[in-house]
Amino acid sequence: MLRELITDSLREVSTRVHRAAIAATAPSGWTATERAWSEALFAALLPAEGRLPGLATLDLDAFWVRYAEVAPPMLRFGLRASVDLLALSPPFVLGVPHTVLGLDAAAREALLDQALRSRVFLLRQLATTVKLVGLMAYLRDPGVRARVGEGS
Amino acid sequence: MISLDGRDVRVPLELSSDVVVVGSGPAGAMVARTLARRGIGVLVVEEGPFVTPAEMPADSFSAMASLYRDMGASLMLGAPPMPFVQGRVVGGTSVVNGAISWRLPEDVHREWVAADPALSDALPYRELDALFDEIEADLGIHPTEAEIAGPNNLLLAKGAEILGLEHRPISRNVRGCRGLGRCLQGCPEGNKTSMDRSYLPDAVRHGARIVCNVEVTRVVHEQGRAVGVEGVTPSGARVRIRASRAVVLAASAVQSPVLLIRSGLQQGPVGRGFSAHPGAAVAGRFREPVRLWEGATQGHEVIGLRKERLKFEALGYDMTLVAARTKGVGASLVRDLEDLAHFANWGVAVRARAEGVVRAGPKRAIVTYSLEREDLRTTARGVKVLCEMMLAAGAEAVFPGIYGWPERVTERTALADLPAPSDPNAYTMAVTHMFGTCRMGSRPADAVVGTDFQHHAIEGLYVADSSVFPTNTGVNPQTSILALAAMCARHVAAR
Repeated sequence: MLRELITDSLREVSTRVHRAAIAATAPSGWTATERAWSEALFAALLPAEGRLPGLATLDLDAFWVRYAEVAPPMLRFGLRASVDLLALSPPFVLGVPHTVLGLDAAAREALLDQALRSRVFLLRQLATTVKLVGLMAYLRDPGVRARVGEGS
Repeated sequence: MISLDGRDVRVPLELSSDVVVVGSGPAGAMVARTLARRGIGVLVVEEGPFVTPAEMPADSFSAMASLYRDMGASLMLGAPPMPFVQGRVVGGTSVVNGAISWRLPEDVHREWVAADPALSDALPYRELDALFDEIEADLGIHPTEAEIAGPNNLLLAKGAEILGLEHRPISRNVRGCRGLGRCLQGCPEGNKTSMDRSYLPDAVRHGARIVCNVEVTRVVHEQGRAVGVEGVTPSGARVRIRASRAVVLAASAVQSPVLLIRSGLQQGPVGRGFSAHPGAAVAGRFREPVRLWEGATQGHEVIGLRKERLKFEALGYDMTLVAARTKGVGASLVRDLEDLAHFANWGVAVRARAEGVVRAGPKRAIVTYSLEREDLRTTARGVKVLCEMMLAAGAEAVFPGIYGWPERVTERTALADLPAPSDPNAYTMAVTHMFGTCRMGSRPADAVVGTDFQHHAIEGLYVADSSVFPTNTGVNPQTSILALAAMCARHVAAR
């Protein structure tokens, strides 16, 4: 368990360096680890599939700037807590000794899916918060809106 | 239309008027318009910004960020925890609602009078009826035309018809609506006769002034008489507004009691008796495209179960909120997004029996409100009827959204034996209509304002919004709020 968590932490350091070179993936003020967790969860929530781009490939700078301006404290706290707790939840939800960064793409998706369907209300709320904010960011993109709107 | 924008005020400012109205939603707009037309000086103070139709955003996030209080994420504490939705913009919630217009039902009026017979003279139904006629003419209220309804509304009509439930096109306050499906983000063509497009401009034409982006923090009262309000601009500058004749609170059933409490006015049951219409929604997948972000946002309703405290409406959300109604994540969610044009979404509003409390927190209102067991059963019944109507209308699958029920239902028979969960957290709900926190009544011990809308303890202080309603109404309250606010204005004018 400890070795796995150390491995995850090292992975987070490399992720941090990588993240510095690309667009913002989380609200300002979050730690680099939280930003990496956030990106992992949002990428698992909305991966590139079919004719739609993945959430992680969109430029979300403007979204997070506006979010920081207008989101009420309870939502800001709720999103951060949701990301933190979900990222640390794999041992309890999936029974594996990893943070979300130690999971492959399929397991990350399974984590979110099981959280959404959990009999524990708090867990359902955490996943719902991540899903709602992720969808707000995703469907703010004019290109995505156009493609979803074209569907028939 | 705006006399002063608080964003431009960085030093302390003093203003004065005959009457100060706090809030520019339906209640405040009606009071301002009625008084201004009588030549009385009115200054309306709104906490939110002024947004033109051209500035109304298309997506949910941008709309919630610019037009809604707390991004639409104000949360009630209780079981289940529910968000409550309020506009925070010039025009108030009328800018972001579905434009649904209902007269106060006579049976609800009878309940009010039965609880306090003094209301029979104070709010005679005949007088309310005459006001409803005027309001409907002023705002162009009329049933939604089939040509602009769109499939989401027409399918609800079909489902209700098959089940034999009374239904009808929703009467809405719109003129020239083209069915853009954007009511909840603010009409980008200005075709909803929301207050910023109707009564407020009329009030300004008759001399009223509107100040936006100023949050009123306190009612100023001296020796038992209201003499003005104090507020603050976004930069922190203090604004003091003196009122020579009256102060009228029209800030909603959540914000008005908070203002009273923060002003040291704890008289009567202020903040208590909070009632509401919690709502749940059901999504369904149809073979044919529905494209529920097109057509009238809310153009059809089912009223056949109103006596069971249930009212059903088509609910055309922006695609963000439709997507949030789907069940999956990852590849499954993306597939649903690609298929989103085939989803319909309908809602049920419950005339809940529960009552809650509004308190003043350090920075925000704190609302505690938990549904009663009977309310949960009513909600489950409503969700079941929504599912049955959707399946009757041809849905391939419906998604009830109640934890413990199947996520996906394809046959009406699968709904028959589903019990109403007793765990409140099994339900996903939100609240839009709120009432009763500054209740009107003849007895000061039981009410915050008297039958003339004036505060029982403070002369010259009036409350004009749905805070004064003795109960919830079971129907969309905007037209009732307008009518009662008109009555309130007459009392203010008579001072």
